[in-house]
Amino acid sequence: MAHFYRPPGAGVAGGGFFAAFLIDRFTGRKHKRLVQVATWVGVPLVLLGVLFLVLDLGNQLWAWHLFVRFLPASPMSLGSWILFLWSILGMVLIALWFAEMFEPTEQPTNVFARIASWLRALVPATEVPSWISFALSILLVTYTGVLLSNTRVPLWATVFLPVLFVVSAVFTGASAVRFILALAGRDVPEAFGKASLVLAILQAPALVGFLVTVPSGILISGPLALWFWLGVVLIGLVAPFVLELLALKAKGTTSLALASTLCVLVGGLVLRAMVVIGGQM
Amino acid sequence: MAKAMLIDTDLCLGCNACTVECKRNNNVLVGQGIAWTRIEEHEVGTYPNVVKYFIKDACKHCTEASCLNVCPTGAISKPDGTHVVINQDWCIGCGYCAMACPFDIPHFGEPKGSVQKCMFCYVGGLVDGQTACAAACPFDAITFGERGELVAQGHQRVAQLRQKGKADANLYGEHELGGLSVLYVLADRPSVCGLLEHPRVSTRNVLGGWLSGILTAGVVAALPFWLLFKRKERMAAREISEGGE
Repeated sequence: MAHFYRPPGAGVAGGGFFAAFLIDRFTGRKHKRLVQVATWVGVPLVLLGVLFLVLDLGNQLWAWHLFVRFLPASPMSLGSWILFLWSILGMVLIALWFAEMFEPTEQPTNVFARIASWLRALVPATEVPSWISFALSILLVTYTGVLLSNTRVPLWATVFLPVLFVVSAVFTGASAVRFILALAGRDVPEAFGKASLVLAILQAPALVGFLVTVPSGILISGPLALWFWLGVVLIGLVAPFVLELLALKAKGTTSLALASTLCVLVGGLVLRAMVVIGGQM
Repeated sequence: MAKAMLIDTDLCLGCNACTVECKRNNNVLVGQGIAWTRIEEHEVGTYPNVVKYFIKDACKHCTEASCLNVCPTGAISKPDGTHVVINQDWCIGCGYCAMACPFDIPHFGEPKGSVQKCMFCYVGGLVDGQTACAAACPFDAITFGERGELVAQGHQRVAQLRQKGKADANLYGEHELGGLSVLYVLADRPSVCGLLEHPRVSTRNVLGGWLSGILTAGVVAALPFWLLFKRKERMAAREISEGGE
C-alpha cells in the first residue's frame, strides 16, 4: 500500500540534510559541501520515493488530488506536502549553487553561463530556502513514523515509532553523506565518525523503547527474527559501532568509514522493511 | 434526527440476502471480489453445546471515524453529518483508510481503484426509505431508522435475551468510538462475535507523534552535532584567542 511500500528515501534524504546542515552551521559554514552532497543525494531519493508512492496508488492519475487540499490532521496529507516542498526547495538550492559556480561576466559564453547569470541575482537569498529546507527535513524524518503509528496495526501503535525513525533517519542520512564523500576520496570531518558512534548509541534505546511498547514478538522471535537480529542489530548497530571505534583508534581510514556507513545504510533499510512487513503479517 | 442501523444478530440466519441486495443496489461489480457487507460466522463452544453467530460485517459509520481523519485528499466525508462516505471520483486509492479503520472495513476491489465500503446506500439510493440490506432481510434482523429509537429497541432486545439466559447479551455501538451508526444486538461478548471489545480511534495521538519526533530531532541535534562540532569550534576559537594573549 502506497506510502508503506515506498523505500526509506525520505528518511535518508531528510536525515542527511539535517545532519549536514547542522555540521555546516555549527562549524561556521566550513562544510558547505556536505549540505550540497546531502541535497544532491536527497532530492532524487525523495523523487524516487514519490514515484513509488504514485505507482502504488489505486488511481495513479489522480495523485494530484493530494495537492488540492492541505489537511494537516492527516499524516499522509501533511507528509505529501512536506515531500513536495522539500524536493522543490532542494532543486532551488541546487540551481542557486549552480549559479555560484560561474564567474560573473557581462558576456555569458554558453547557455549554462547565461542561465547562471539569471539565477545569480537570487543567490543572496539562498539562506531562505536553506533554513526552510532544514525545518522541513525535521518534519520529513518524522512523518513516516507518525503515518504508521496512526493505524490500527498493534506493531506500529507507539510514540516510540516516530522516535526510532527519526534517529534511524539521521543515522542513515548522515552515513549516506559520509559514504558518498568517502567513495569520492574527499575529506570528511573527523568528528563525523564520532557523531556516527553517538547516533548508534542513541538508536539502541530508541529501538528498545519501540520493542517494549508494542507486541514485537514477530521481530524478536517470530518469522522475521533472523532479519531483525542479523540485519537491524548486528549489521545496523553493532557492526558500525565496532567499526567506528576501530576507525577512531586508527585515526580514521577510508575503508573503515566505507564499511561502517554501508552497514548503517543496510541496517536502516532492513529496519524499515521489517517494521512495515511485520505490521502487515 | 440521525439515521442508523440496528442489526439483531439473534435473528440473523446468515442467508446473505443483504450481501446480494447491497451489491445489486450499489452496483458493486460482480467478480470484483468485494462485498460492501458480508456475513461473518463465529462458532462458539464444543459439541454438543455449540452456538453459531452470524454477524453482518460492514462499515460501522463511527462518530470518531479514523478513516475520515487520515484521508489525505478529503475523499472521505460525512455529507449528512453522520454517515461516512467515500467519494469514488476523488479517492486516489492510497489505502491509508484501510489501515486506519479499527474494524478493517474499507477494501480495494479488483482491479485496484478507489477504496470501497458501505455508504448506507448513498450511491445506489435507499429502497423504500431503507437501506437495500434492511429492505431485503427476510427475518427483520436489520432495521434502518432513527438512532434514538433503535437504541431503545436494542436495549429491549438485550433485556429479552438476558431473560432467556443469555447473560452476556449486550448492545454494541451505543458508545463505542463516540457512538456507531451501526448498532448490534449481541447474544454474547463482542470478542466472541468477532467485534473489538474496546475499539479505539487510530488517530488518537497524531500531535503526540509529531511532537515526539520533533523533540527527538532536538535531542539528536544537541547531542552528537552540537557537542562534537559547535562546542569543539568554540573551544578551538578560545584556544586561539588565549594563545594570542
